[in-house]
Order: sequence, then structure tokens, then C-alpha cells
Amino acid sequence: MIAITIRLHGFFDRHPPAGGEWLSLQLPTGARAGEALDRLGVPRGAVGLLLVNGQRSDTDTPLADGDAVEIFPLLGGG
Amino acid sequence: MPFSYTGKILHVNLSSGDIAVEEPDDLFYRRYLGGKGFAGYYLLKMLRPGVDPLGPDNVLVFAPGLLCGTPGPGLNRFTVAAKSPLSGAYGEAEAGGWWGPELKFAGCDAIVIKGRAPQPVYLWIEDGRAEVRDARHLWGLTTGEAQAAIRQELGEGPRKVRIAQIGPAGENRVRFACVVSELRYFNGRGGLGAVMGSKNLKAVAVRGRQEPALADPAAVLEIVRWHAKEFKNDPRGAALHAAGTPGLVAGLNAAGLLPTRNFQSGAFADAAALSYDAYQALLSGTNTCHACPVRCKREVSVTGDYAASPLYGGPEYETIAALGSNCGIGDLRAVAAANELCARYTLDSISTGGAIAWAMECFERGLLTRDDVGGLDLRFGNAEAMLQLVTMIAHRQGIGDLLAEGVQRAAARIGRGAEALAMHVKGQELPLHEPRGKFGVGLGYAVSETGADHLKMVHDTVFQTKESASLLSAAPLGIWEPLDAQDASSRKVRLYRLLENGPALWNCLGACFFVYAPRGFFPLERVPELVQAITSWRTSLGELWQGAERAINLARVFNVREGFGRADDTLPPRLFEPLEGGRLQGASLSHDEFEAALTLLYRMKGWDPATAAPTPAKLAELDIEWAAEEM
Repeated sequence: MIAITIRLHGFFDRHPPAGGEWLSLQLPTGARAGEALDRLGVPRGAVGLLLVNGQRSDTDTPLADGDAVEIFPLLGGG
Repeated sequence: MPFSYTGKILHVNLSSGDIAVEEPDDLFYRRYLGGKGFAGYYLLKMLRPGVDPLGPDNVLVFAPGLLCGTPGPGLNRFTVAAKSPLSGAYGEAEAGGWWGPELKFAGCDAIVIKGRAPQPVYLWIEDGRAEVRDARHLWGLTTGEAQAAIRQELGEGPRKVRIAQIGPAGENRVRFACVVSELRYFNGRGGLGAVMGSKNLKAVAVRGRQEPALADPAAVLEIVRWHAKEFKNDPRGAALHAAGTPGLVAGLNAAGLLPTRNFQSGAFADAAALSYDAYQALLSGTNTCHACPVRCKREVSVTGDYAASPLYGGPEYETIAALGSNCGIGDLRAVAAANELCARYTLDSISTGGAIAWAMECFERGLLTRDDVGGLDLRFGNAEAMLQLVTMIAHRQGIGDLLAEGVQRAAARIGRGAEALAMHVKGQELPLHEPRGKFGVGLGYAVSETGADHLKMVHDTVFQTKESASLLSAAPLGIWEPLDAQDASSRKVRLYRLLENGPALWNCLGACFFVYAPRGFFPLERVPELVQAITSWRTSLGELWQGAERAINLARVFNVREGFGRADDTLPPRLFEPLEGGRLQGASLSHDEFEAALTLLYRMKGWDPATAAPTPAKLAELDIEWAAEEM
């Protein structure tokens, strides 16, 4: 298992919590970033930007113990 | 018999009082569609170049989109257009709500107005009959008062007569006065309310009882039901339904994209006080437009020091950022009160916020003194001063008279470096989106015929991940791979080029940007099916996309005829300097990259990169060779 932290920035409908706080997650060794989203129930289609340790990444990016994941919603303007 | 449109266009000469009906043939509708397409056509055909935007020779067009007023999803928008008193260029602004559909129900596809009434009037259109009525008793009233008075004298119930109108800011010819209908739906940009004021036209009241005919009502109903069931399962529809545009504040702030203190920064320390959770505390209800299940509109109710009534809706994202973060104000109650004032007076909240933010920065830098601003302590963050300025602008009192001219003219008047702080393109104040983090949005600001406009393309920020719902829905356009929002390469220019006809098409059809892909849920590949079910036309995305491009080119030809060129397709100097604070700290645009992107975009569009004018070949391709003779 690995321990990561994840933070949801901005408004994600129906997928708590979205207050910008860091959450801790335990994932299987070898997990990819997308699995962290799945665990929180955040649809992959709702993600506008995904960062791992501050670097632009995607759902296939492998995670390591201690990684920090940040996601932003689709910020479509208007 | 035509489907979806009525076949009648009303021409009103306010100088003489003459009213005539034009009945164009079906091909006219197929070529120019409606809304934005009609605006370009009539402004080119009926306006002489060089006319005073606030003189009787300007032409004012009210035009619902082709499909406006039908039951199709989000088909409710209408265009108001004229030569803009803010930019001197093509002026166009859309609004949703109920007025556009009502005009169609009244048997009219557009109203084209010229001249100037000798005294204040309003136009009353009911079931195909039009009448110019005395409005001397309404002049000077705020919008809420005027709406009640007009409804009372027309003897209809409170929700039956739909009224598009101006308040004191339009009467006083504030160069960014807007048009409002139902007190809460704004044709916001470009000062079209000042054009109404200059024509002594207080309002256009409409009532109709004939819904547009549909070619295949069962097919339309199937699409409507399908959309109503499915949109909430998509993250775009779900987020708009749940939070409306105020839901954008926190995410944009975290991304470093929330314009703050006149675009000096992309992050605001008090953003939480402007965000969704703060909004929920003021929320009194949600609202919608004709035929829209998304219901993104919000209403607020605020009492106490700052008051706001739900009659005037509630602030959208643009207003929250314009009068909140961009003025350094972290108080949503003050923003809600300012939103109501803008609706009462008919001020465009984007330009109003831009003008106030500019004045605040000038004050902090000593370019405006306390004496200049009537004793106000005009530092960023002073909510009281912001609210006072809104009223002073509407009435052109004190410093408000200068700000009512827009930041370009105001900065030229005071000089001493104030021009460098004026955030505008072609005289129109920037919307609240940060090009240093969204390069395509910056391109849109620059090339927009109306001056800075944030709805020229779907924002770069939604195309950054390979599983983004927006990216996947753009595949039918040839957009298949993610691209960084700050990318400024030829790939970004291609993205812009492939997307730009979408918003223009929605403005021709009367469709909402928030409902249709890639910003909204409704899939692009079903759009031709929807248009065919409503109109009977055998059509394709290709034909429709070209219709939108035709409308863009008509607007561009208008600007070329008015003397605009490549040098006007630019961005304010601040955007080429580093952002301060936030996740994009230090980000700036590069002049070389920006100019290279513009040149490439013109070439892709079939425009001459030296003049930014459409080539004769492009106009021939679009079947509007007549427009080449206007340049």
C-alpha cells in the first residue's frame, strides 16, 4: 500500500469534500492517479487539470508513497 | 409556411414614426440564420461608415436567433446590435431569458430601428401589431419602476408582457450602458443601452401568443426529453445546474486565474468570501430561461447595510469578479448590491467593474487624487466607494462622468501613464478571464470584432486532460488531444480556429453557450438533427459552421469599413508583464508568440495578415461577395 494526499480545488458537484483541504488516501502499490479520483467518486471527465507533486499529469501517472495529487474542475468560463 | 421563424422583420423609423414589415425569402434565413447573422447583415447594409454611434444614423437591431422560442434545449437567446459607442466598432450582445422567444411569439424575427424619436418613446409589439408610444412619463425611472409602469398601462398581468429596456445609464449615454429584460437578463456589452438612449427609446415591450411552428414536433420532443434526462449525468451540466457560474470562483482562484486588483494578480486572498459557499448564504432561489432545464440562474436576497432583491436576480461569475476580486473587494453582499444597482440603472457590470478597478489603481498610484474623486477613499477593497461610484457613473456625477466614457477615453483624458493601466481591447473593458493562463482566450479578446469578449472560444482550461468531457465532445471538430491552457503554439491557433465558429453559431441560432458542447452537454453531432427537426432543412454541421463563419466575416467587414485593422487586434500591455501572486506567479505573454499566433490565425481564417481583412476568396467561399464591395 501507499499513502498519498489529494486536494480538490474549486467546485466539484456531488463529490465531497471540495473545500481545498488535503485528504489522505491509502492506495494499492502501483496505483495510478485515476484510481485516486475513482476512490473519491470524481468522474474523470470532470477534471480540468491534474497535478502530481505540482507537475501536470494525467490519470495514467503512477503514484508513489507520499505523492500529493491536486485536481481542478473544468473551468469553462462564462 | 416556414418553420421556426415567422418570415417577418419589422423596420421602425423613430424619426418619422414609420413602421414597415419586410418579408425576406427562405434563402435569406438559410444564409444569415438570425441573431448575430442578421446583425452583421443589417449593420453593413443600412449604416453608412463613420456615423456617430450616438446619433440618429446609427441602426439598432433586435434579433432573436433562428431557433429562439422553440422548445429545443436552451434556445432562448437574442442579439442586440449597433455600432458601439464604446469601441466605435461593430457592437453586438446576446441575452437569454424570455424576451427573444416572446418576440417570435409576437410574429417577428427581428426589429431594425433607425432615426431618433423627437421625445422619449417605447415600442409596443403585440401579435404582429407595432406601435410607438409616449414614454415621457417613464424617462428617468429605474428599470424596476419602468417595468411596473409599462405593465400596468398595457393592462396585462405581471408576467405576460416582456420588456427589454434601459434605465438612467442608458438615458445618460454611459458608453457601456446595457439593455436589460425582465430586470435580470442582460445584453451587456458594447454600450447598446446608450444607443437606445440616444434614440429616445426607453423600452421595447412585447406580447405574443403564437409559438413557432416545428417541422417535426415529435422528433423535437424526443430530443428535449433526452437532453432533460441526460444533462445532469454530465459534469458540465451537473456543475452549472448545481452552482451556476458562481461555482467558478474558487477553482479559478486556486488555478491563479481570478483577476484581482485590475488584473495585477491572479489570486485573491479573500476569494473564499466570494465563492460558492458564501453565495449559498445569500441564495433565495434558482431561475432559468425559456426551454432550459439547466437552471443556472441564481437569485439572491440581501438585507441590512447592503440590500439586494431577488427581483434583479443575482450576480453571475463575471459580476462577482468584476466588482469583487478585481476591485479587491471580498464581500459578496456588496457585490450583490452592486449587481442590483447595475440592473436598475442598466450598466454593464463587466465594464463598470473594469472602470472602477482602473480608477482604484490610478488612485493608489497618485494619478487620481481625493479631490479628483469627490473625496472618496478610492483604494482597492473599499466596498462603500465602489457602490457610490456605480451610482455616480450611471448619473454621470463627478468622477463618474469620466468613468462613464470607458477606461480607454478616461485614461487618454488624464494621461501620465494611466493608459498602461487601462485593461481594454478596442475600448471595451476586459472580461474576468486571465489570458496569461488561457492563451486562446487572449486571442479571442484580441480578434473579437466587439472588443474584448470572453465567449469567442470555449476556454483553453477545459481541453487539458485526455478524459475531459469537453475534449471528448470536441472530437467531431477534429480536436482529439489535450493541450496546455498556456500553450501558445500553432496547435493552440488550430484549436481556436476549430472552435471559434461554435459560439458564433449559437449566437445565430439563439442557443446558449452553456447548453451546447464543448462548454455544455448537448453533443455537436446532434445539432444538425435538432436543426432539421425544427426547420425541416436537410443540414450538416458543415453548413451550420459556415453560416457562423459568414456572420463573423460580416462583422469583420463592418470593422474594416470603419477603419479598424490589425493594430486594433491587440491586448493591453499589462498582459505582457508578469502576473503577481497565485499559482501562475510570473506568467506573462510574449509579444513574439502573440504576433506569430495572430498571423497564423489570420491565414487560417482566410484574412490578410497585414490588414486583418477577409480576402475576396474567403468572402466568395462564404457566398457574401457583396460584402467585399463594402471594404
